[in-house]
Amino acid sequence: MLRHVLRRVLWAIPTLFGVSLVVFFVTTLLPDPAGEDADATLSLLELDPFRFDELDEKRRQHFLDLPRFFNARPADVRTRAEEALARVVAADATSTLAAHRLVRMGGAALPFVLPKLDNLPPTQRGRVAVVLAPIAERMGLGDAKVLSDPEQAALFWQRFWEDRALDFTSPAVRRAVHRLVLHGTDIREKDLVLVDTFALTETIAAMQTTTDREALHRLTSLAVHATRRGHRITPASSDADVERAISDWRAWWFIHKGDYEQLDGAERVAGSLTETRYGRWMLGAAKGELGLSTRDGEPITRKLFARAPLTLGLTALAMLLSYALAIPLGVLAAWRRGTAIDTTLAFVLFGLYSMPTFLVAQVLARTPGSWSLTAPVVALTVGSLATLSRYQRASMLDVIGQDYVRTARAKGLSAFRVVVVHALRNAMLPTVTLAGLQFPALLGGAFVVEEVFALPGLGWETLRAVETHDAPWLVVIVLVTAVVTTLAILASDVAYGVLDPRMRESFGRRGRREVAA
Amino acid sequence: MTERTTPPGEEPFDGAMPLQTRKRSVAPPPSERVPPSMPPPALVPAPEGTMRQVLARMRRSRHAMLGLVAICGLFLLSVFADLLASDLPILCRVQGTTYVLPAVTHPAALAGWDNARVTAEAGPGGFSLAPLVPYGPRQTASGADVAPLVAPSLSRAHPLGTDAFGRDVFARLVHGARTAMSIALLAVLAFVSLGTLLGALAGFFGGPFDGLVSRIVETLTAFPTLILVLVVQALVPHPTTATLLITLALTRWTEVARLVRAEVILITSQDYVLAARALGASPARVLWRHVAPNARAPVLVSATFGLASVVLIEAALDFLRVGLPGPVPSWGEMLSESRDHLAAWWLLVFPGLSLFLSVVSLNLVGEALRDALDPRLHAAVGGSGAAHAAGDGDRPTIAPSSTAFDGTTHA
Repeated sequence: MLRHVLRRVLWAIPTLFGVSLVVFFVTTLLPDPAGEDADATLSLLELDPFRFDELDEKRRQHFLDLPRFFNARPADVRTRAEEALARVVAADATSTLAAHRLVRMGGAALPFVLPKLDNLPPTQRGRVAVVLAPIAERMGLGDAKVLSDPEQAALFWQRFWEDRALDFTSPAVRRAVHRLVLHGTDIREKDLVLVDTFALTETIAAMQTTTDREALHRLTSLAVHATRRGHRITPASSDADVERAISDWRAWWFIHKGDYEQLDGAERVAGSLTETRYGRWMLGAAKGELGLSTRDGEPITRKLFARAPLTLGLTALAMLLSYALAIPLGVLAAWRRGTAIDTTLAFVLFGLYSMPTFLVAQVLARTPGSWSLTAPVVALTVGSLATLSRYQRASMLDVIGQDYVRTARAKGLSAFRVVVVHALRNAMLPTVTLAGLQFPALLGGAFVVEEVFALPGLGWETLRAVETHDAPWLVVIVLVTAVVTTLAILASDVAYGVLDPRMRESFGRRGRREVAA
Repeated sequence: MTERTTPPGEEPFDGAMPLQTRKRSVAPPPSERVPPSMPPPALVPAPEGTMRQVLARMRRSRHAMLGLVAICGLFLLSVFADLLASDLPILCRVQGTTYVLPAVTHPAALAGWDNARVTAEAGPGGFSLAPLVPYGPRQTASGADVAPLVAPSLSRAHPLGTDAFGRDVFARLVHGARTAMSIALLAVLAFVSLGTLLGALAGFFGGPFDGLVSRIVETLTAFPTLILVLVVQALVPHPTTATLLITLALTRWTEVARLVRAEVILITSQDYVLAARALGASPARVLWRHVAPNARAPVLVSATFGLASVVLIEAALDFLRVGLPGPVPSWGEMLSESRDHLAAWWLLVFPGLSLFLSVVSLNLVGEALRDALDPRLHAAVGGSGAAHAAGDGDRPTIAPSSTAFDGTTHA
């Protein structure tokens, strides 16, 4: 029995993996919500840089800048900086965009840009140096006049690198951040401002470990200063604010760390899989972060936990109600087989059985009066009630025809006792096993019922997602239904094994034979 | 069909048609007692005989006949929808030209016309034979006589009322029947073909391919069909009727594949198939002459229930407004309109009733077919019609395999 359960669970893992791959592939066929028209993007950058950043951020939040499943050249800060530099030097149509990116990467990109300045011809050197001006401004160095003149700017940056190359090393920054956390001083903070985004790796790592408000204040201020986004934590912030700010920084870092961090050898190899849309999504999922909804930007995980209880509760209630009604009805019909009761029941149940859930729901929704959860549960129950009681009747008839029932009757037991005590236990088996298959059906029904009664459950949310092509939510809902139904089927298998020793035996045998083979 | 004359002990017991084969093998007429290697004399082909027997059994069931009649009626309704309700006449003579069924042939001269205009501008010698209800399913309120949300009345104009756009409910109902029937037939055709193909290949070749197909079947079964179709429909960039059909086919083929695969495995392991192969029959011949006749019946049952489930799913999708794009008349879409106009009971009752009755009829026929094919029932009652009449007919097979019980009604 245990082996059977284990086998099913083990099978479920690759199956879910496969399903996620397929669904994910289908979602990538959807048009890019932020638009991928390169020319339009470029002109937008000149017209409205803020709007551009917003769109760009949205694309990156959904990893649309990455390939789907395989990344032959995973990009890190080094490749990005070098590419941007080459494009600025080439001064072609994309150089504005490259310059914008370079400024965003900031200090982290400098170790890959500044040493190369010496080898460039003077005009190109000047062009690059002018492009870098906003970084110096962020660091609080130089004055605008110097930085906007190509020749002087080039000189400034050359001197800058001669003076400060040693500051741009991880050990130095790590030490500096460590000291800032231990005894925060303004001087230490100023040192870190001077390396700009180069300090982000350590800053954000330190945010996760320290709980000291003062240190957090300094760390978040640094990060905000370097990235021009995000939330500061002040010594007066509430615990919830601190929690939210830190998780926001963590999520941001998860998306953007490729702009600031260098991949080492092993990471580069793994990057061909992880630096993809699917890879990033899976990495996030492993941490319980299922991405952001494209509809309202809320985290999918939070939405899922907010919506699921209603749907699962609705389904469970409907399941309970239909079993509670179906078993007695089925037994009654079988017991009074051929009588008017049986015929009427068969007639009514057949009608209910052919009744679409959404129609029942719609009829009930029109019925005046405040129903709260009663009407949705009743609407959901109708279909499965009919199925289950028809099953129950059939299996009861099977059991009643058996010898041991006749024996019990012959011993002089009352018909009631025979039916309820002797026959029912065996006759319930097939019906109970059916629960695993009823569950997916009810879940599908619940989606419709929620929509009709405007209940904000998974189904309601899914229909909104369908309207807005919210791919991240749709992927997750498919996987969640798959997991839930797999669990339901597994549970009904286990229930069968518990209720029927013969099944337990046969599960075990099959398992052993397969191991031997 | 030489192989059919093998000794009784080697008969296939496949659960689908044992009665027929047993009868033939227990008392084969002398003319049929020929060595297997000789060419067979002209026999009545077994499969047709089986189907005839099944039909004969079904004919004894009053419920099944009722359902069958209703479905035939529905088909006639959808085929002749243009005669019952259309914005153009059945036959007319306008300004010297005679048009037959202009609603179907779409003559350029009458583009944009309706019945009222045809009557008004028929000219000398012109006449027009209007359909039962002189409005088309997409014809919106235009004239003074067409108003939105007209209640049903016995007048000829709008016997079942109009919807919020002034479209005639009867016309939409009749044309909705056409939509439902054509979608259902096409989808069932598609998923039966797909399921048969994959099931037959999986059963015949076995090995890794079989493993793959079985796994896919198992995976797809774990999903609520409605949710799957909903999501796929949402993820397709430009949903059309074709994508809906493809989605339905891709999600519903598993049942047929499972049935066919089981049948193929069962039949190909029979000695007479071995004998046939030893005689040089190709795999294709084995599949066609031995497996296909046996698999036909369960697939037919599955297809019948499949029709019901596709009608339901399509209606549910339209009800949720994610189904057919555009102004295609459909029952589900009418029902979804009733959500916005609670007072207009006719928008709920008529399409709801049509949907319910067609699903009931399809289920009745499906159940009768399944009962007619269920050997246990006939072993017990000897195939008498009493079983169906007494309500024994709704005995479901106790296995999670039955098509009717995988949630199709919960759409």
